[in-house]
Order: sequence, then structure tokens, then C-alpha cells
Amino acid sequence: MKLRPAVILDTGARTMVPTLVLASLYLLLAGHNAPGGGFVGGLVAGAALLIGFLVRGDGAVRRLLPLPPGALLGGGLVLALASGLVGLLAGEAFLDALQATVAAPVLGTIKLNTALAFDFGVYLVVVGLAATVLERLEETDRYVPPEEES
Amino acid sequence: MTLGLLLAAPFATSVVLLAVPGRARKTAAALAVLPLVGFTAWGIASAGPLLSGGEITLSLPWIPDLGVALDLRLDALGLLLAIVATGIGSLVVVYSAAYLPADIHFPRFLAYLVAFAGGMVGVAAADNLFGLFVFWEVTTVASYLLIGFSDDKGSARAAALQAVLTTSVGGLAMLAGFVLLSQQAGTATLSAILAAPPSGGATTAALALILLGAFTKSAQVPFHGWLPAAMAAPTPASAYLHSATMVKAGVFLLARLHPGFGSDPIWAPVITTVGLATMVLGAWRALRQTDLKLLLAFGTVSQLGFMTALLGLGLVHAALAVLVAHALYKSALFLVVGTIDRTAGTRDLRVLSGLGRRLPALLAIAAVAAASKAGLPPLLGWAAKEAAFAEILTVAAWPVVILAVAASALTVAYALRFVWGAFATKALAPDARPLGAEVPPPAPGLWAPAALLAAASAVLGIAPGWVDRLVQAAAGAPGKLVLWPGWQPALAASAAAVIVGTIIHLGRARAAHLQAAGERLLHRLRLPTADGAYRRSLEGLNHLADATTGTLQHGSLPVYLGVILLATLGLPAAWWLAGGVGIPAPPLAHRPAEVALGLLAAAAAVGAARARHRLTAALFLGAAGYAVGGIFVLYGAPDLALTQLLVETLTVAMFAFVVARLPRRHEEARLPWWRSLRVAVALTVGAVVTWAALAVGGGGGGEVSAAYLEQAVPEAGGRNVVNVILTDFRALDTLGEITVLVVAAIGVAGLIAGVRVTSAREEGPR
Repeated sequence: MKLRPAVILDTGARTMVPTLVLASLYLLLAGHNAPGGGFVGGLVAGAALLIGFLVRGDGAVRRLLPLPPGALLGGGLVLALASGLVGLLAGEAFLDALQATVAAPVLGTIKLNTALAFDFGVYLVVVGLAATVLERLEETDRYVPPEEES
Repeated sequence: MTLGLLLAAPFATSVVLLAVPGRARKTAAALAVLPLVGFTAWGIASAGPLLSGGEITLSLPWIPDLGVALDLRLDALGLLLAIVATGIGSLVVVYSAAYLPADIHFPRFLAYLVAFAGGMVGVAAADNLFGLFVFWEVTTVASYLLIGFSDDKGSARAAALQAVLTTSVGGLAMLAGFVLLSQQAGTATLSAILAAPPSGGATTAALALILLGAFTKSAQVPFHGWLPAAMAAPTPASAYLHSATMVKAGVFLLARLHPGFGSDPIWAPVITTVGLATMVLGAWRALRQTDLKLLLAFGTVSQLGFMTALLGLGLVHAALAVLVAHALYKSALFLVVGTIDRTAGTRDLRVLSGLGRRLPALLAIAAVAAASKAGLPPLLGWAAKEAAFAEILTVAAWPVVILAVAASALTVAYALRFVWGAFATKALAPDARPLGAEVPPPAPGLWAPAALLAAASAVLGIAPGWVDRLVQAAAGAPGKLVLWPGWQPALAASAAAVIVGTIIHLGRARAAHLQAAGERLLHRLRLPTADGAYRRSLEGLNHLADATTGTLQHGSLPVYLGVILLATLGLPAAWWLAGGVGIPAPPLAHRPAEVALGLLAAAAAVGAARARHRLTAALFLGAAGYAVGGIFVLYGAPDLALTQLLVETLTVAMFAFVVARLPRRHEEARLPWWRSLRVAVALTVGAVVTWAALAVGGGGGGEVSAAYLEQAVPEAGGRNVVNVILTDFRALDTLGEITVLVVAAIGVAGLIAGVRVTSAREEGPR
């Protein structure tokens, strides 16, 4: 059951997927002060994967991702935990977010917040979950069920 | 503080040893010996104050809220066990360097062994019930690893499993007993509990549970089956765990508890009975073994029974004296068996013949250790047994005395059987394969540790002064270890035991016939055996698990869903019906748009319920979700709305893929009652959710929201309060949620992969 990708869908996906990924990153970064955050960002990235999967089919999810889904899931969880440990090491409570303002020469002042690292962990886990589901769907896609008897 | 460092040293060494490469055997042995010898030396050097009733304490907080602390308190009793464990441990390490073949990963073996020793020292020094339990289980885990060390052998794995199951079931019972006891006493500190022991029914129940832990650890009837099976361990591990240390932990615990609970109504009857039964059964079985190592294992069971019985009678001094003597001679004998196994290639006494003439030095070592075991002067075993008999005669009834003498006679008999079986020149069975004439002399590492242990049995027997002081201080009870106690009734008991034991050995052919007849009789009585009971309880557990799984996991998705929904909502529903919370009546809508979206959501829900095709139903569900998202937008919750819309989009799209793989139509409910039940479940769930939404939305929460709004910028530096809550204020919740997501991803992967496998199988070759 190999489908030929529809031309319009294919062309649309070429711009849609990168745009959605950018949007997801924007939502992730902006999340602390404006609507967005790791969860929403991850979902948007998941939607990008979904479009890629719809258009390109087999293997598209894996090609779009820099890492296998398992690594995203595990890495995200570890990153979230690690960002929590920073607070602990600094003598605050576990997961207590720390902030710092750094004056960079060209970029102006940059506000750093361990909550962003935590949120990035959330983002990775959500993307990993979406990728896992889509990859499994791909695998079932290769299997053609026996004809229904009716 | 020194105590804390010395206790931590074995564990640190164990970790280091895991990193040592397999070929660096000498380095590994040196590393492993260090903490053990260190503790022994320190223990002996600082024994002075402890012998006169002092103690070394150290308190490290651990879980203060639960009253769990790493309280260490080393007194004479703890010192006795710790010195036995580390002293014999260092000799065993030296021996195993010579014993273990090159293909065994030696540093790993030592890592387990040293961790085990650390656990024993911890048990000896713990002053908090839960600290004691933790160290107790450290020894369980380490012993599991050691017994199953040859993990390519099924028998070793099975033996390790049996040991760990038996002792950890007992350990769990003991933990329950500890919890109960600490509740009764109001403290978990052992010394405080023993100073003012609680009493009453609950305390007796706690004691019974703790006894279960002690009995399983010390291989008492009917839990003794694991110890002979554990002979699958490499012989140095057996010599260490199953003679000197682990099995002594139970005896030690009884000795520890005796000052506080010796007068409990169940103490004397239960412990004495179990101990006597174990003592007799172990000696009886030892006499029938042809494997020298199994002979020693059953001998150990018997001796542990003896110690337990002594403790049941309240004779702590005698029990501890026997403990020390037994540790010395039994580990020596185990090491001798290992050397025989290594040099002659067998430890079957039906095959061994003439070894004594070729290895006279080994014979001498074995003879001294066996004589100590048989309780012959001038060895430590003699002094300990004389003290025990003298004390038994003063307190116990005649049946106990007779049993003790009988078991002692059997002990003499199997000690003789050991030496005869291993070293004598004898006529072999016709089909036995005789040993080669050339048995190479063993390397020094294979006999020197055993020689030291045997020499200790002799020296400490001739001059028991220091051991006597240690045992007396540890027991805190009168008693005396002497080389020559003078003419007394106990002497007659010993003489009787030696004479009867020698007669049994000399008439061994007839004794074997008698034993076989006895076994047949027992067999005909269909008495349960320890191994049979273990096997049956394992099978029973598996059956129970099968039955439970079969009942709960029957495979009907609607039933799973119904159970989950009703269980989640049952409690709030019951609360609601009981009138716990009334239905608040907030205004149903603030804006016309809300009414429209609400109606849209409701219509989509009805459509989903009525849809005939799965895909249609999925689309309707998505529509309902979008409508709800719209309501979120109206209430000024952009984050929530964004999430809702995205989740709906992804869900519907993924749904569409899954549905494409399923039959297009829903399976129709065939029975009317089944259909009604589904409707009822759906309506109930809907009603409760509606009520919950009203109750939550009706009021409250304002202060919390206000507090979050106030703190968001100053505390967390973020203006999006929802995000600040997720990533900072309630980040632990979020961490839990993403963990759930990961678990769900693993489940999804497994679920769909599983479907693929089954469908491939159904497809099959055509």
C-alpha cells in the first residue's frame, strides 16, 4: 500500500514542517512570559512530525528527528531532573528555579533561568512521545490486515 | 567516628573491586583483605572498654521524620559478631585467592564478599531497628549474589533464588515485627527498647514476626532447606556465609533481644522447640550425606539448632560460646573440603580413599577442627560444649538434656564420618572410580588459612581466657569457659555423647541400615519435607498469580474502561450521594458565545455516542474537544486553550490512523443488559464529572491564584503564571507528569509492537 504523495500536500509540507518547528521553539522560549511553554511547544513539534509522516510516509519521522524517540524521552526526563538538581546543589529546594542575568557584549542582557532547561526537558518528552506513537503507526502501516469478512 | 569509617570501608572497597580487572587477582585480594583485617585489628585493640560493659556509639541522621537513623552502637555482643565476621572473612579472602579457578571473575567475587562482610558488621553494630533491617538485607542480597555466583549453572541460580526467597520472606516478616515493636515501644532505638521493653499481645505478635526473620536466616526447621541447597556457592563463600556469618545473624538477633524479651510467653517454648528440632534433624541428616560439603551443611543446621535452643532456654553465654567455637571449626572444615575438592577433584566420600596418607598435614588440620566439632578436649569446642551442658543441666528438663546429648552423640558420629570419609583408606564401592595415585600437594594458600583457624580452635581451647571474657561481656550473663571444669555431671553427658557417637561410627553399616529404615518410615508417614514445602509454596504462588491475572486481565476493553472509570469516580460519587458537598449553582453562562460552544460540545458528544463508524466517532470527539478549547479561550486561558486544541488535533489524526487498521464499524452490544450497563456507566460518569466541574468551578481557589499571581514575577521571573506554575511552583507535579508520559510511550511502543507480533503469527504461512 504505497501511496504517491499528493503534490499540493508535499509542497505545503516543505514549508509547513520547518515553520512549525520554528514556531514550536518560539513557544518554548517565550513560554515563561507569554502563552506557550514546553508542553505546547512539544505538541506543535509533534504536529510537524505528523505532517511529515502524513506526506512522506515510511521513515519520515526518523528522518526528521536528530535522535531516536527513545533518546528524546530519556534525555528529556534526565534534563528535567538535572535542572531540578541545580536548585538542590545551590542550597535551594529540589526543582526550585534559579535565575541569573548575564550581560553579553553584542546581544545585550540575557536572562537565564533553570526553569527553561526544565521546560526544554518537558518539550523533549512530548516530542519523544509523539514520535514514538508515529513510529509505531508507521510499523503497523507496513502490515496489511487480512480482508474483513462480511 | 572510626566506627563509621570502618563500617563504610567494606562498601567503598566493594565498589572499587567491581572496577578492578579480572586478572589483577593479587591486587584484588589485597584490597579486599584490607578493610576486614583493619576492622579485626581495631576491634581487638579497642575491646578493653567494651569487655567491661562500655560501648562505642555513633549517630548519623537518615530519615528523621520516620525516626530512622543510622545509629551505631557497638557493645561486646556486637564486637563478638563483628570480629568473627571480619577475622574469618580475611582468611577466606586469602583462601579464595588460591582456590578460585582463573575463569572466575575474582574481583567481582571479592566485591560481593566484602559487601557481605560490611553488612554483617552493620548488623552487629546497628542500634536502630530499621538500620539493622537494612544491613540484614544487605547480607541477604550479597549472599544471593554469592550463592548464584556460577550463574551459568541452573542449580546455582535455583539455590540462590531459594535462599533469597526464604530469607527475604523472613526478613519482611521481621520488618513488620520491627514496625510493630517500634510502635509499641515508641522508639526504634534498640538499646532504648531493650532498656524498657514493652509487653502485651502486640509485643508478642511483633516478637513472633521477628522470630520468623531470625529462624529463616539461621536455617531453622522448617526453613532450613535453603542452606544445604546453598552449597552450590563457591566453597569459600560457603565457608564464610554458611559457617561463620550469615547464618549466625539470626542467632545474634536472638541474643540481642534476649535481655528485653527473654521473659515473653512465646520466647522459651517456641525458640527451644524449634532449636531442638533443628538440632536433631540436622544431625540426623548429616549422618546420611555422602557429599562432604553437604555433610558440613547439615552439621551447621544442627549446630545452629543447638545455639537457638540454648537461647530459648535463656543460656546466652553458652550459645555465644558455641557460636564462636562453631565459627572457627566449621569454617576450617569447609576450607579443608574446598582443598580436597581442588586437589582430588571430588568431595564424594564414596570415591575418596587414601587421601590421609598423601596429605597428612591436611588430615591433621581436619582432625583438629573435627575434634573441636565433636567437643573433645583441649579444643574450644570442648570448652563451649562443657559450658553448654553444665548450664543445660542446671535449668532444663530431662527430655531437653536427653535430646542435647543425643544430638551431641550424632555430632561426634558425623565428625568421625567426615574425617574417615575424607581421609581414610577404605574399600570403595565396586563401580566407584578410584582417585589417581598422584594427588599434588596443595599450595600454601589452600591450607594455611584452615591451619590458622584450626590452630585458633586449639589455642583458644587451651587458653580460653580472652574469648571467655568477650563471651561473658557479650552475654551479660554468668558462665565460664575453662579447659578443665572439674568433675561435674556435664562431664558424664559429654562422655556419654562421645562413647555413643563412636559406637555409631564404628557400627556405621548397621547405623545406615537403621537410618534408611527410619527414613522409609518417615516417608510412609508422608511428613512434609522442607524442600517439598518450598516447592509447593512456589507453585501455589504461581497458581495464585495465574488465577489473579486470568481474572483481572481477561482482555475486554469495555470492562477495563468501565472498571477504571467507576473506580475513579465511585468515591466522589458516593460522597456526593451522601450529601458531602451540595451542588453549587453558579451562573451557567456569562456570554452568549459560551452557550453556543457548550451546545456544540454537547451535540458532538451525542454524535460520538451515536456514531456507527469509528472514524466518525473520532471526529465527533475532536469536535467536542475543540468546542471546549473555545470555552477556554473565552475565559482568557490561552495556554490551556492552545494545549487543548493541539492535543485534539494530534489525537484525532493519530486516531484516524489507528481506526484505519480496525474494522470500520463498532462492535454492537449483543445483549440488551450489556448495552444498558454501558449506558448506565456512561451516564454515571457524566453526572459525576458534571458535578465535579460545577463544584470546582463554583468557588474557592481564589486565594491560591492570587498568591501565584503575586509571586510569579518576583519569585520566578516569569509573567506567564501558568508556565511558572508548571516549571517552578509545581515543577515536581510536572516532573511526575512527564514521567507518566515516558511510561505511556513505553507502553505504546510495547502495545503496538505486540499487536504486530500477534497479527504476524495469525497470518502465518499460507
